[in-house]
Amino acid sequence: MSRFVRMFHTSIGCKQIMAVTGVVLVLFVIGHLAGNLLIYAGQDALNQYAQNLQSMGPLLWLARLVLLAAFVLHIVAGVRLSKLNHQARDVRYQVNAFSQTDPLRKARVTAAMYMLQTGLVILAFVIYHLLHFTLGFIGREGYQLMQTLPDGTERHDVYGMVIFGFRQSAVALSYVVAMLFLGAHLVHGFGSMFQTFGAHNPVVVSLVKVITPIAVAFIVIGNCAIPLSILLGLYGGGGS
Amino acid sequence: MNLTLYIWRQRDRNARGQMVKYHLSDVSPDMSFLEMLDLLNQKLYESGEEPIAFDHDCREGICGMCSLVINGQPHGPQAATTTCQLHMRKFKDGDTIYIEPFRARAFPVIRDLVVDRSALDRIIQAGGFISAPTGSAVDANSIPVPRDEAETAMDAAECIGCGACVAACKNASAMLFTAAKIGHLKHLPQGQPERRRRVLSMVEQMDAEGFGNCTNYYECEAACPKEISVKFIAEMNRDYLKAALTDPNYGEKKSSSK
Amino acid sequence: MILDGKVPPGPLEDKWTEYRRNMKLVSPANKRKYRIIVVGSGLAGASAAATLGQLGYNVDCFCFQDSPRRAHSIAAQGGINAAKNYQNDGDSVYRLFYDTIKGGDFRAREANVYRLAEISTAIIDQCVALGVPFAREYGGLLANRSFGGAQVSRTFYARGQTGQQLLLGAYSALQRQIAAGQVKMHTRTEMLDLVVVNGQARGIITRNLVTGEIKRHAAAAVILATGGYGTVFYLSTNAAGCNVTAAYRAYKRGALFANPCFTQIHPTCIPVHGEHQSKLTLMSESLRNDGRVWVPKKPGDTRHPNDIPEDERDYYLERKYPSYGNLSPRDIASRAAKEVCDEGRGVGQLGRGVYLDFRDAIKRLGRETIAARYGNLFEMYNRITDEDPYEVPMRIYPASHYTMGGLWVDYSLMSNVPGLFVLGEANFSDHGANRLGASALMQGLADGFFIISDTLGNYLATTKPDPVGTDHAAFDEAETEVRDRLQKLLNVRGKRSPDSFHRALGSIMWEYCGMARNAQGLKKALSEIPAIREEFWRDVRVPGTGEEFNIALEKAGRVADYLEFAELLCHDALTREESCGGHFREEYQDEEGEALRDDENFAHVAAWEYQGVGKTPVLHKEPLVFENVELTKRSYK
Repeated sequence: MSRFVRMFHTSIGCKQIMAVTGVVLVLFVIGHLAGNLLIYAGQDALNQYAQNLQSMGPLLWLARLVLLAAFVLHIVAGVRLSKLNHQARDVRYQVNAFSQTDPLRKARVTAAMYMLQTGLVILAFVIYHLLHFTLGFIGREGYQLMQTLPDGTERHDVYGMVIFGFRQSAVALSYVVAMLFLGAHLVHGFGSMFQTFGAHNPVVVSLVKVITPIAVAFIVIGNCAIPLSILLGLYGGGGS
Repeated sequence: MNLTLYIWRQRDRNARGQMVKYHLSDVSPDMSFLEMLDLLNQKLYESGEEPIAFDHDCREGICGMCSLVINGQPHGPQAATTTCQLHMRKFKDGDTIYIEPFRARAFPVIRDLVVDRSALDRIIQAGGFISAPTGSAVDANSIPVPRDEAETAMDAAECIGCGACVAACKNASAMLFTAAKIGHLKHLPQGQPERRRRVLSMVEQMDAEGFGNCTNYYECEAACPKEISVKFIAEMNRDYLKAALTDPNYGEKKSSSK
Repeated sequence: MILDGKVPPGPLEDKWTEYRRNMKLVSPANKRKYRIIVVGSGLAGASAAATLGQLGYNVDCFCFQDSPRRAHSIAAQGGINAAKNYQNDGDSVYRLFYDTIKGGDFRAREANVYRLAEISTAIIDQCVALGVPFAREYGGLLANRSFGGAQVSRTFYARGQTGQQLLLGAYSALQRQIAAGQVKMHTRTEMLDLVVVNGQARGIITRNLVTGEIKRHAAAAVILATGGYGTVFYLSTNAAGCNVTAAYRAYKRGALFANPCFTQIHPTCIPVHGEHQSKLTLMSESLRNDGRVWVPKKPGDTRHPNDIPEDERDYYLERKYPSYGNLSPRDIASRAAKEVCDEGRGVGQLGRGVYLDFRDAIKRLGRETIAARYGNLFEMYNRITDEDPYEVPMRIYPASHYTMGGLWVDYSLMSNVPGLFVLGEANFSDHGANRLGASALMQGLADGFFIISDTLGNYLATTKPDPVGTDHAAFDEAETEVRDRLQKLLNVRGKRSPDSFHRALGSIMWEYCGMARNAQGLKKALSEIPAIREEFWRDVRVPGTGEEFNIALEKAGRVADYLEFAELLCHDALTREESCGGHFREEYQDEEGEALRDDENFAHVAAWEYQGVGKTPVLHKEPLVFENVELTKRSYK
C-alpha cells in the first residue's frame, strides 16, 4: 500500500492513478450509455434492465464502491496535479503563443488546458444526475412513476421517468450541455491516457488518432440523442 | 530594420521586474537575434544605461545557454532553432517583439533575462548517469549495441539542457528534459543495471524542484531546438510504472516530494 | 633558464609505465584530507574533477557558466581519435603518435604525445562505459571515420556532436560525484587570481558572478582546465565566454606561458558579414571532400557566382596543390584563402570569402547523395546566411579556432609553479604548432581521466603539503589586488563598452598576428596594443556595481587581460623566426610559398616569464629532443 502512497506523491505516479481511474470511469460511461440506449427498445426492456441491476445486491454495491473510489481518486489526483501545475509557474508570461501548428493538436491542447474546469462541470452534473434519476430528490414526480406488470407486481418505471424528465427543455438541455463538457474532457483524456501509461509507438499513436474521435463521438452523440430525441418529440410518444 | 522591443528588466532575484520599451534602428536582417541584443546593449552603454543581461555562450546552437522567450515562444518562432541561431530576417521592419525570460518557479530570475537553471543539474545528480568509475571500463567493443538502439539513444542524448521544454510547457514541467536523459541511458546496455533506480530517483527530484507535470500538450516537443520526441516521455512513464510496481524497496521510505 | 620537462628515462613506449611504476601513492585515508581545486568544467576539468572525487579527494570545481555542461568542449563536431585499430587498417599507438607529432610540425614533446596516443584507447572504453552513444555499425560494433592528416580510420564519432556527447559523459560522471558529496560545484563563479604560498600554488580567489561576492579558496593543489585563448581575435569559432583570464592570472603569478603564437586557424567557417557580428561558425572540414574551392580570376568580379563561366574561375587549391587539392591541411588551405582575398579576388559583401562549390559534386553524385552526406550542414549554413548551398556555392573563410600554446607544463602536467597543474587546451603540451582534427577531445580526456589522477597523487605524496588557511598573508594580498582591480574598472566611468575594445584588439590581432605574420606587422601590433590598453583604462564604461550580476564588469575584466596577453602573443610570434604549423612568418617561406621551419634554431618550446605590464617578458627555452622520429618537411603537393 505504501508503494501506492508513494506513487501518488510523485507527479507521474499521480498521473497514472488518474489514468487508471479514468479508464474505470470511461468504461462505466460506455456501459452506462449502452444500458441507457435500451430506452429505444421500449419501456419493458429498459425497466427490466434497471430491475436486473437492482437485483444484483452486493455486487451492485461493490461496483458502486469501485466507481466511487475511482471517481474520488480521479478528482483528488486531478485537483492535486492542477494545483502543482499552477504553482510551477509563479510569474505568467506577458505574451502567450502556441508553437503547435497542427489543428488537431491545437484542439487537444485547448481541451487539455481546461481539464480541471470541464472536470468540475462534470462533477456538478454527476451530483445533479444522481439526485435526479438515481435518488429522486429532484424531479420527484417522474421518480415516483411505477410500471405495473401483467402479473400485477409493480416496478420502478425508469422509462417513464426519463421521458418525463427530458420533456422539460431545461432538464434536457442541461444534460446535453453536460455531455458536451464530457466530450471535451475525453478528447484529451482518452488519448492522454495512453501516453501516461507509456504507449507511444507509431501503431498506438495512429490507433489513438482514429479511436479517440469515434469513441468520443459515440459517447457524446449517444448520450445527447436520448434527451434530444425526447425533447423534440421524436421518441417517447410525442408531446403529452 | 526598425524594431520596437519590450524587454523584461529585473535587478535581481528579489526585485520586482517589468517590461521596458526600447526602440532600435539599424538592425540588419543578417544579424542573429543575440547580435541584435548586442547592438541594443551597445546603444545602452553609449547612453549611460546598464546593459540588458541575457545568457549566451557558444552562439552556435549547442551549449544550451541562451534562453529567451520571444513573442511567447521559447527560442522564438523558428522551429528546431536556438535563440542564438535565430536571425533577424525572420522578423519584419517595424515589428514589435516581446522578450521575456524562461518562466518557471524552478527557474528563478537572476537578472533581466537570465534565470537559474541549476534545478536541471540536480535532476541529473539524482541519477542521470552510469556509475562507471574511471579505469573500470571493459573494451569498448565487448558489448555490441544494436545500431537502432544506439541511434534511439542518440536521439534522446541530443538534448542540450536549455530548458525550453520547461519554458514552453503550460505547467513548467521538466518531463521532456528528464525523459531525454532517462531515454538516452535506457536504450544502452550499460544503462540497464541502474535503470529502475534512475527513473524513480530522477522523477522524485524533478517533483522536488517544483516543476509541474505533464498534461500531454506536447508544447515542449514543438519548442525543443533539438526536436526531442515526446515518445521519450511515454517511455519514462512506462519505466516509472514498471519500476514503482516492481522495485522491492519502493514505498519503504516515505516520499520526499511534497 | 633551461626548462626541464622531467620526462622519465627509458624507451619511448615504456616511459609512462615507468612513471607509474615509480610514482608515489596517497593512501585513501590521506586523500580525504586533501582539498583540490579544479577550475573549468569542460572535458579536461569535468573528467579530472570526477576522477579525483571518485578517488576520495575533496574537490572544488569552478565554472563561469550556469552549468558545467555548457563548457565549450561541447561544440566539437567531428570526433575523437583513438589507436584502437578496430578497422584492422594498420593503425597502432606508434602511428597515432607519429601522425600527431608530424601534424604538429615537430614542435611538441615526444614523450607527452606518445603517452596521449597510448591512453587514447582507454578513453573510448571509458566513454562507452559512461553511456556515450557513439555511432555503430549494424553488427553493433563501433563505427569509425577517417579525418585529416591520417591514412587510417581511427576517429570515433556521435553524429556531428561528438564533443557534446563526450562532455555530457564527463559531466554525468561529475554530477555523480557531486551527488556523492565528493565534488562541490561552483557555477557562475570566475577565478580571478591564483594564490601562491611559499612558492606553491595553494588557492584561488573567485568572484561569484551572481552576487559579486569575492571569495578565497585554499587547497593542496590547483588544477587549471580553462581552455584556450582563441577569442583574443574577438571573432572566432569559440564561445563568447571563452577567455584567457585564469591562465593569464597564473602567468602573472609566475607560471610560464609556452608558445602563445601557436594558434590554429580553421579554413572552413562562415565568413564575416557585418560589423556587429559576434561569432564565426565552423562548417565541418568534411565538406572539402566534395566541395571545390574557387574564386573569380578577375579581381573585383561582382557577378553572381553561377554566372561566372568555368574558364574565369580559379580553383586555386587544385592548381597549387595538385595531389591534395581541396583536401590540403588546415593551415595551408587557410593561408591560400587569405592570399587570394588579399589579391582582391575575395567574394561576398566584404570581399573576405571564397566559394566552396558543390555544383560538380551534385552533378556527379546527385542531389540526394549530397543531402545524405551534408544535409544538416547545408541546413545550418542556410539558417545563418539565408542562401541555399544546393543552388549557390557556399562562401567560406578561415577563422580562429584553437590555440596550441598555453601554460608550460612538465611531463606530469605541472607548471613551473609547484602544485599548479594545467590540463587540456589550457596547457601547451601535445599538439606542437598545429593540432590535427579529432585530437583536442582526446587530449582533454586523457589529461583529466587518466593522467592527472596519477601525477597529482605523486606530487602530493612527494611534497606532503601542509594545510594552509585562507587567512594566510598571500590570500590577503591576492584578494586585495582582485578587489582593487575590479574597483579600478568600475571607477574609469568612460564612454565605450568593453566589447568595443575587444573588437578593436581583435581586428589588430587578426590583421597582424593572424594567418600570416611578418616582423613589420608584429611590431606595428606591438605598438598599437598598448595604445588600446591605455585608451581602455581611460575610457571604458562599466555601469553598475561590483556587488551584483554585472555582465559589463565580467567582460571588462576579461578584455583587460586580453589587452595585456595580446602583447605576449605578438612578442612570441616576433621572436619565433621560422614558419611552422599554425605560425606562418612571411619572411620564412620557400619560393613556392611553403612554410620554412628552422629546426636548428627553433626546435624548442618558448616559455615566457612575466615581468610586468608592458615590459618584455623573459624567454626560457625547453629544447625539443627527437629520439624516435625524423624531422621532415611537411609536403602536401
